[in-house]
Amino acid sequence: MSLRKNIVSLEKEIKKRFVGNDEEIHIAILNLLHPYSTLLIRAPRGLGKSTLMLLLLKGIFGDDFVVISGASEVKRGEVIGRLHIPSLEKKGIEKVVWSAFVKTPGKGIDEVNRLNPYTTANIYHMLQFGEVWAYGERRKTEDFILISNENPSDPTTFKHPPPFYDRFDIVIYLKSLTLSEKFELQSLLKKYGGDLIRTMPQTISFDEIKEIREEINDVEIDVELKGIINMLVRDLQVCIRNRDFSMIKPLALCEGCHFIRDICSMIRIGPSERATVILSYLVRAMIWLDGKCEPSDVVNLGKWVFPHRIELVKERYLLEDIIEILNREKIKMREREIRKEWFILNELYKGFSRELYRKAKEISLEDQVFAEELMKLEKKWVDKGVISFEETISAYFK
Amino acid sequence: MEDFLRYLERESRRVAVKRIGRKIAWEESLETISKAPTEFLDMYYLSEKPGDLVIMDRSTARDFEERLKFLEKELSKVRKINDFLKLLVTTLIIALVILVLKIFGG
Repeated sequence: MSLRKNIVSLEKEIKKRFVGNDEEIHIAILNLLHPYSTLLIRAPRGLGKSTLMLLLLKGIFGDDFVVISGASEVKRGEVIGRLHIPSLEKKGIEKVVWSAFVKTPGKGIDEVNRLNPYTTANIYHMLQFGEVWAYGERRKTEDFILISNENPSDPTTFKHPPPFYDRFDIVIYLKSLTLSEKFELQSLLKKYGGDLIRTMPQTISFDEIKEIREEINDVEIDVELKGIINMLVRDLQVCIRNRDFSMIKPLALCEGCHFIRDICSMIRIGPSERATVILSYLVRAMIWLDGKCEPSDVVNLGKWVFPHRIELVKERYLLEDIIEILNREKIKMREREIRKEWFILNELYKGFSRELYRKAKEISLEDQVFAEELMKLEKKWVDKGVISFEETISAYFK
Repeated sequence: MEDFLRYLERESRRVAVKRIGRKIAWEESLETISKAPTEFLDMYYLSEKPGDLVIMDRSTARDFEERLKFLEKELSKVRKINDFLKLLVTTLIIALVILVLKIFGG
């Protein structure tokens, strides 16, 4: 109970000092509640990216955290570790002194976009394998919290590879303050003597967060929510244009594609499976902290899980585009319900029925995710001689 | 796989169907979805919310075409009158300005 109280208190203390963006702060808090959590805060300059990062770190680690800055110290390329000079000079031994950033569980990166490629590669390896390398030596990293920020429109930005961004669990976009919120900010600055960060209390320890993570690991996700998570990610992955590793081969379906208005037509590269993992973490955390998670909440979580994981065919304003895709996804899920797709598939799993199979084939022309599942069943039926390959939807798509 | 089958089972439970022997029957919902095509006349006269696709039959299309042509003709007629009136108003304003200048300009 006190663990929940402490995490709620963390959110409250941050909201007392950070005006607006309530939804984003809540999702950032939820994201802390799984091992090796990573958060990326994106915003143009001056909207409070660094402030929010520091408030989060200070609320958990007090003053015991390390922030490296893409704009300054990373130029030396010694973010991970450096050689111990006396050992080298006196004994000729290459001994590595690991940096405070590697050793501390509270990590922050200011201006990720300015990290040089050498440092980016080191951090990428740390996020990918949970270890760091320097001068031929390796060190495993313990569980940590990494909070980072970047301004994507910064002209001095390095273009980091998409897999690097994929390692960030979620990305939140900060909004600029409305007129009344600006008044609120002025009052807050006066109240806290102009220093919002120094006055931020530590409301929870990292050990307590680890305890919460263990509790959350035991939270069961309802099979309906699991279905929505998986369907959401699969729908965004399923477009097969320009790909040669799909069950439904390119051209067969894409020539004269009638999914023009569908979600897949908007996505060039879909999200990785990491999106499924993170969505599951967030759903568990939401159930633990908020007491419930509705199907619409799961779809809504996509706003923070997908923007840095997918590449759109045509991008106007990324976050709005993602919201539009998620709204279309809700319609798509409703259409599936109306067409009774999962009922039909379930019946077909129980046993072959010619009428239901005919209906399922019709549905397959409208829904690629359904088609993929039907094709798996067809393979079994063809093997057993229940149907011929020529009449299958697989033959049609070939 | 087990979870997936459980999911299918759970979703199936929410679907209302009638089972008559080995046959399964259900009523198709008439719920309109955004992708469903809408009849043009329904949209126009009954204020039905249009879907992504609006359709009309050939005779409606002909009526529509004739009405458009008629309106185009009317529009060009009204435009001519409008141009004439604009010219008239401009001339009158110029005449009025000249008149005022003559009277008060000495």
